[in-house]
Amino acid sequence: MIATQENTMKDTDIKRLLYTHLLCICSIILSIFIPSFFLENFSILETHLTWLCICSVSVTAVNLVLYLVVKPNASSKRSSLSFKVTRFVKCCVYFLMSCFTFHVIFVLYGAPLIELVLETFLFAVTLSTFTTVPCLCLLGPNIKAWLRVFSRNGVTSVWENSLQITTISSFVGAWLGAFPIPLDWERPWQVWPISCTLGATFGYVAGLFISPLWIYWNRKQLTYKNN
Amino acid sequence: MRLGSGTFAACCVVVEVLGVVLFLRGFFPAPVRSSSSSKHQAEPPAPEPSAGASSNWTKLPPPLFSKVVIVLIDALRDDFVFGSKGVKFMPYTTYLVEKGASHSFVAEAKPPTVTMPRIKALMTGSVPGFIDVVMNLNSPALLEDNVITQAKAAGKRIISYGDETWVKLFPKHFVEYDGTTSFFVSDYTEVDENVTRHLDKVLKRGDWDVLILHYLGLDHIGHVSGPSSPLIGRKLSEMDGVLMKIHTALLSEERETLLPSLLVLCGDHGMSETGGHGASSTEEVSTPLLLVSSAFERKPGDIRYPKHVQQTDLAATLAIGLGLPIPKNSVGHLLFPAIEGKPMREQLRFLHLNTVQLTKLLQENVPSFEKEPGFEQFKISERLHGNWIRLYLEENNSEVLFNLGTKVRRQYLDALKTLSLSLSRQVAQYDVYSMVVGTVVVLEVLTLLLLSIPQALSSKAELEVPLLSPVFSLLFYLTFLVLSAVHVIVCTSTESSCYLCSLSWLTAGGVMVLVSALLCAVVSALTKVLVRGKLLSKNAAHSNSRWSELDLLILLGTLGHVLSLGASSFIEEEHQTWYFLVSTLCLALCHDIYRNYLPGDDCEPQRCLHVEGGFDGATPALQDKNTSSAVLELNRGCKSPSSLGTLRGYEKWMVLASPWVILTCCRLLRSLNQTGVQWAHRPDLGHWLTSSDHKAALSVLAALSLAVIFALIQRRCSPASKVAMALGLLGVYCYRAAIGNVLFPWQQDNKDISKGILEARFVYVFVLGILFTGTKDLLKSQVVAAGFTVKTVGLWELYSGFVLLAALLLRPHNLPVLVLSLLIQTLMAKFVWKPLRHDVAEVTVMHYWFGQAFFYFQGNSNNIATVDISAGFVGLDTYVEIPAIFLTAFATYTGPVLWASHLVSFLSSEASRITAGDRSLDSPEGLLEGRSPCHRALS
Repeated sequence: MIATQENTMKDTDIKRLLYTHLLCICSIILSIFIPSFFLENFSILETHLTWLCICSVSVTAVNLVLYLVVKPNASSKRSSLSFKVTRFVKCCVYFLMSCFTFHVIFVLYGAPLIELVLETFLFAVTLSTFTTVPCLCLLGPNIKAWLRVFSRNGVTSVWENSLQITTISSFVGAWLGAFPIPLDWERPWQVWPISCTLGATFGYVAGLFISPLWIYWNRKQLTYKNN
Repeated sequence: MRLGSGTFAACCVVVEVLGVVLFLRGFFPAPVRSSSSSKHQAEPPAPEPSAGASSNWTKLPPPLFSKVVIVLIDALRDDFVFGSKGVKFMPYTTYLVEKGASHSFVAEAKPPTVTMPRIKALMTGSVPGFIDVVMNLNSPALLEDNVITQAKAAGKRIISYGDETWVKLFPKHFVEYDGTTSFFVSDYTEVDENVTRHLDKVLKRGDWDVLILHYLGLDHIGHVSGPSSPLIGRKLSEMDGVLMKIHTALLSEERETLLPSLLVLCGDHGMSETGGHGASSTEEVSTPLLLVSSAFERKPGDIRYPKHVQQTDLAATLAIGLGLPIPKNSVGHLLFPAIEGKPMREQLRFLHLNTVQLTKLLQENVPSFEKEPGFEQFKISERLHGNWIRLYLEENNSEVLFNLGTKVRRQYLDALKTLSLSLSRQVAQYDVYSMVVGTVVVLEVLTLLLLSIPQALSSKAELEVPLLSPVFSLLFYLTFLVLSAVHVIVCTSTESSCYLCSLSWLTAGGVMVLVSALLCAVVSALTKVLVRGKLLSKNAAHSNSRWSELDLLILLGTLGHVLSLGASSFIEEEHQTWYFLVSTLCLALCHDIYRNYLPGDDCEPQRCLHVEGGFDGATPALQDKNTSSAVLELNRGCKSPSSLGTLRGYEKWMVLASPWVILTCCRLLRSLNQTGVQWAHRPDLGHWLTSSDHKAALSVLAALSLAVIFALIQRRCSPASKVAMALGLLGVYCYRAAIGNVLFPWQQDNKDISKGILEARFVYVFVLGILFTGTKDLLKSQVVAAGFTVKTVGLWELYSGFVLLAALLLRPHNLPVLVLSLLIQTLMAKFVWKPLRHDVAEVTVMHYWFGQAFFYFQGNSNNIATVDISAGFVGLDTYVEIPAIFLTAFATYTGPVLWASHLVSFLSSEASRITAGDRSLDSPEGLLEGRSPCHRALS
């Protein structure tokens, strides 16, 4: 009886997960096409920075809205306004910190230190949008929970599982995106950081696609620790 | 036959090297060259052949042209001149081609279609072999016999404007030059204006004999926007204007002189459809060659179509045209239309000179030259020529003379064509048979090695090599017979020379025995593995060991690097691959550390998220690992997250910070030396430091680096070598100060710069001393069986000896590379590998990655030009070959060598730590403190 209930819970969760992910993908696709109606000469490659801004803003917005609507981890305790405000401020600080951390990591990976600072930073912002924002939405500013989710066997729900997959695929996408840079094809998208941002975006979209399917496929084997 | 793992590996390496050498011998055929090519003294030219009557024409014929202008347009494809583009954009040139006094050809360039080898081919007439690169490592200057050197020797005044490759190839040959670089590919106007701006002045002056103009703009346009870009048309029109200007100037000047002048328009290589070059597609190898001179006057209606010739033919033609001896290594033949207008006697004389030169080259390179058809034709034509001369001197009837002359001429031309063909075939031919045998040997050894890895790495560290039993098997004899038959057939049937066939029968038989024995060994090892695999799959279904992310990264990274070598730009930019991998490795280590050590993370085994069947593909490998890596795993089983508790506060923070420190170090080193191709011109710290304005900064940096090196290296040395190390490092600074790289504080101006022989030898004494102590310790540990500690000390001494040698040989601005390498090694050993207990395989691969990255941090690249030759002269008065080669090789491979020797010393110290730990299990604190066994041995 309980088992069947759990199963149905999981199935509805997976369905909701799929819909939210489809919405996220839509937001990215729209961020490519909608601005060209309002802005002249808009294209991903030519006005890359504008696109980066639009894309990260729209993905953040969609994530926040979805979080407020779907409420995946229904926190039972009612919290005061001040708690919510501090939580929000904390989230913002965390987001900024993750942007700067990513920026530092890019520079350590070999991004130019002084030239192209804006490009590098916007890439960091985009990558944070794809990874940190969902984490903050789902887990809140709670380092321990993050570490738990990203250690090997620490996932406790379908949502966290999908979070793990999308985050890792965004990172891997950004990582793979660096490969074409040294090739001598002389294409416009080989310039730093365009290939990496595109790679991160593809990785994120792929993660969004794959994670519901993968979870659905493996739903029999997946048993989450009840807490 | 039982063998120790080490012996087996050594044997494999030896056989592997043999195979590679065999392959390379087939892949790089020896270039065709005259044995006397190093000497530049002029040999007397071949006298005119004569039968009976004596001809007195033994001197070189006089030049045909007073002035020669060579206009070389980079990446000029044949259809840019002869095709529709030429008609549209180069009207003047088209007029010259169709109606003017000119001869036009389509010259075929041999790959690699890159500028420098092409210039060499144009000027020497030879086809540069790949072996050439190794032969003149010492100087980029062209040492082979060539037209420019001959012209200079003959007192001609040569001027060169354009690509600075010319200036590099022919230093001190030009009375005036202005080199333009081809670094900035996006610049396609200024490079050419820098050439053209000299034209007016030079053409007016006329105090020169040879003018070389090398225009780079077209190539740059091709690289940026391809051959169909509208910019190409504009550039071609510009070039047309330049040609017109030169031609009119030459014509107006010709009226004052007796001899006509020659204008040569050529391209060094073509341009592919994407705008690049380097390979051997038709577009890349077809270049136009246009000879314009009033000597080539033609009657109206005389239509000349561009003939197909070789690029190497230009050298011989130019030499004849300027009245110079033909370059000795030239394989080209004279472009006959250029001398068509001359009297018959001169024509024959030129052809004879060219044939003699080619025959000489053939004699020196082909052992059985008498059988070559070209040689026979040469003999016939020489005899006919002699007869003709006799008739000529007897002043016979002119018609008979003319007819006979035509016959001789045809005979000569045939001979030339055959000779040239057989010579260039000699160069461009791979020795496929040797290559195949080499490949087979290499692959067999590789398979054997892979198959025996599980056994060789097992606890006994020895393995059964199935070699004896197969030797007496039927398979072995059958393979041997088949191979011998193949060998006989191949060697008797091919006309070309083949390295394996030129070996003695005994040696070739040895190779065959080797190949078939290896084959048998592989087959028997394979069956063994299969049998064992079947057994294992029955009882090893439940293995719960999984590969960690780090293992996966290491495996995929190494594989990915190997795959990346398939793309030429990844080879050019290989350093980027290694930097990227090393950075990723640091982040992965960071992840590992934080997961294990961050407070609050309870890593108790959680029974959630079991994914079955996710690692299906990896299971056989896992089983192998499982069954065989008993010794590999240094106590891995007891890897407990609680080990953090035993680490003290400072050490814990060091563990957490060390990946970031290492990442920062790598980033700093990365900006020290820019290498590769695409970004090599970017400003870097190394250039900033070496510029003379920043000598003080460099001195401070060098002194600081040497001090840090001492601080890092001394902690595990014996007192004697500590002193030696300190004195040695002091000597290094003195050496650098003596040769003027750095300053002493009390010496503000660099007054006297010596070669620093004394100082360098002072350091060498200490290097040898430390190395000697280390070797002595090693030998002692082998003989007396004194245990691991003595061995560890000995290995560390050897390592520190290498560090001292590296400090001496590396340029002062590269000393930070050494310092940071030592720092990273210390950090890794102390705070990453020991606390995290990585196994031997992981540590080894990480050492390999870092070693490769440090090779590039030093400023090396896969381009041979980045090798620092100056290291070979440290402490030597003159060039002494063996030490120079050794020192240069060591300085080049400092990074990999230091990391390899650190690996050996680290592994030995780990092993001794573990045996010590086994003996004194009751005091685990001593283990975790990270105190070196070396220290303990001393105290």
